[in-house]
Amino acid sequence: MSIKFKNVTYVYSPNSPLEKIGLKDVSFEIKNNSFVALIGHTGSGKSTLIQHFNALLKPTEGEIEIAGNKITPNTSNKNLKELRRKVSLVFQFPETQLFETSVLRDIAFGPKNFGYNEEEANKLALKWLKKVGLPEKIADSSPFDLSGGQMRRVAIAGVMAYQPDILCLDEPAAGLDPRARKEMMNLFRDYQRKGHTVILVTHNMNDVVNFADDVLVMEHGRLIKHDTPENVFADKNWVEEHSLEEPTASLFANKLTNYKFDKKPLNLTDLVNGIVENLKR
Amino acid sequence: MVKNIVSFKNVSFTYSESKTPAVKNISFDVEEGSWFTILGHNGSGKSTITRLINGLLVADENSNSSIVIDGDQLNDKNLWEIRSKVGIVFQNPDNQFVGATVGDDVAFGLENRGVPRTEMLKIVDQAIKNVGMEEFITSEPANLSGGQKQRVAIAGILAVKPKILILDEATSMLDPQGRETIIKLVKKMKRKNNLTIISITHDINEVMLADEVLVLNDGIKMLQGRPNDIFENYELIKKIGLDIPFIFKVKLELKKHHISIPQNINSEEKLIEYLCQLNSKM
Repeated sequence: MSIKFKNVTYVYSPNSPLEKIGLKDVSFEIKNNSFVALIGHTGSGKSTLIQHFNALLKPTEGEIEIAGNKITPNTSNKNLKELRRKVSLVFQFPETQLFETSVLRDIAFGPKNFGYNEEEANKLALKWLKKVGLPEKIADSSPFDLSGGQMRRVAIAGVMAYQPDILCLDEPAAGLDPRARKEMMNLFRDYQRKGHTVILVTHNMNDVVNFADDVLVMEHGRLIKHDTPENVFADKNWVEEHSLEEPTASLFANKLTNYKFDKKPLNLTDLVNGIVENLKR
Repeated sequence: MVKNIVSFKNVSFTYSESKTPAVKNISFDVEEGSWFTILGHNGSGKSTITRLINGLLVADENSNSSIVIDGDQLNDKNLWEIRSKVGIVFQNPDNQFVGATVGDDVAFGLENRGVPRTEMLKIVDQAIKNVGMEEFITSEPANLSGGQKQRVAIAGILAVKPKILILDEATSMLDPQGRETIIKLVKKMKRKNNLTIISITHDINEVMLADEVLVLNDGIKMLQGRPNDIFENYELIKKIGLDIPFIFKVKLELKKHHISIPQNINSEEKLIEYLCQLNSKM
């Protein structure tokens, strides 16, 4: 039950003056239970791509296999519910989508929508309220009385509560303080380790090297690289050519001109071990 | 002599629905023309302080407490005059666009102040040019990126010529490019207009731009000083849930391997130089 894209092209407003290519001939396969990072500039096609994962957008050409479903240009909008229960998207700033009168009801909305009864949904909601690190006492508060960071957690809990097989998040930690950011990233890692697939759209290259085991790089609607973080960042020139940033540890290592690293340091631990190695030589 | 443009003395503030103060007995000074950063985790009282500066919130009453802005003690009578000296750019680019087009949006503050139309149009044009958005003067906000919207917000504020520009996590919702353009722009505007910048941020790289940093935790002032000195207290900084700059993380990790880096090695340049020397000696 991997995710397979076969020659997927997507055109916005075809045959109109506003016609614009969103995706161009994108093909890849993602293994189940991976932690995937999707990187690329604003406007490179990342958002267009993730909206294909649960058929919010359907390919203009090509074919997608995901969670046991096949999506083609002719896929009808009927019968997509099962797919959307299995594959969930969390958009940027999901806190703007909160709407219910209480935190618990907001989180329970997703599970209820996907067929859980009231009692089960509330139970799941309470479980995930705690799992995302919120205090139980806010369950009955209005979500609009919470801080921005707390609202973000409520929104994410609302999606995780029905436990999609594939969880796809667009910059979920943007704007959070460092502690909240770390907790949030660890939450997604746990979720992946418990047997789900996590796909993370991010501009933060440190998150890419610290969490992902597979990376998709988009540029102008094309997939220009699909590889491990090690390989994506291995060639400094390639990274520069495509105006991507290197992880902080790599940037630092580049400046240590009289050091020799066997393997390019991608994170703090690698970097420090590499420095210690060099000093011992 | 250096002049303080903002001066807080023993200021506390308690939200009406809360029992404990959000800001507790805080004193600090901000020098005119400096870059001052307030650092703290969410809910530590940072935003409350910015709202106290321009009187959006009124401090708890206390006879030995005062807020002085540009030489005047903030009170009911001079509130509007002081507000015209302080501009705030907020976090969410979508929440601060009031005009139907970029031009209208920048004109809003001037219209409010009754600036004559001919003069207003000139100021608007110039302000939009200053932030590099002249191509977009008739664009609608929906067609702009987050970074472009923040540039328009800055243009609207600078059009009314404030002395203090507050950035309340103004770059935290932007992508790296958007962030970079905003920081460059703010630096340029600061130089050009001798602005005082008060920035609230979690971004460590932005903290390093500051002349002075105030660290808050649960409404209490924990530390104040230059960024490099502040981060020497990395254990405390980490304890209150904040990040430390990468070079201090490297120093800390090296120490675990019994490689001690002297305290005065407190910038990336110095650390690189030190490590390279260390490697050539051995």
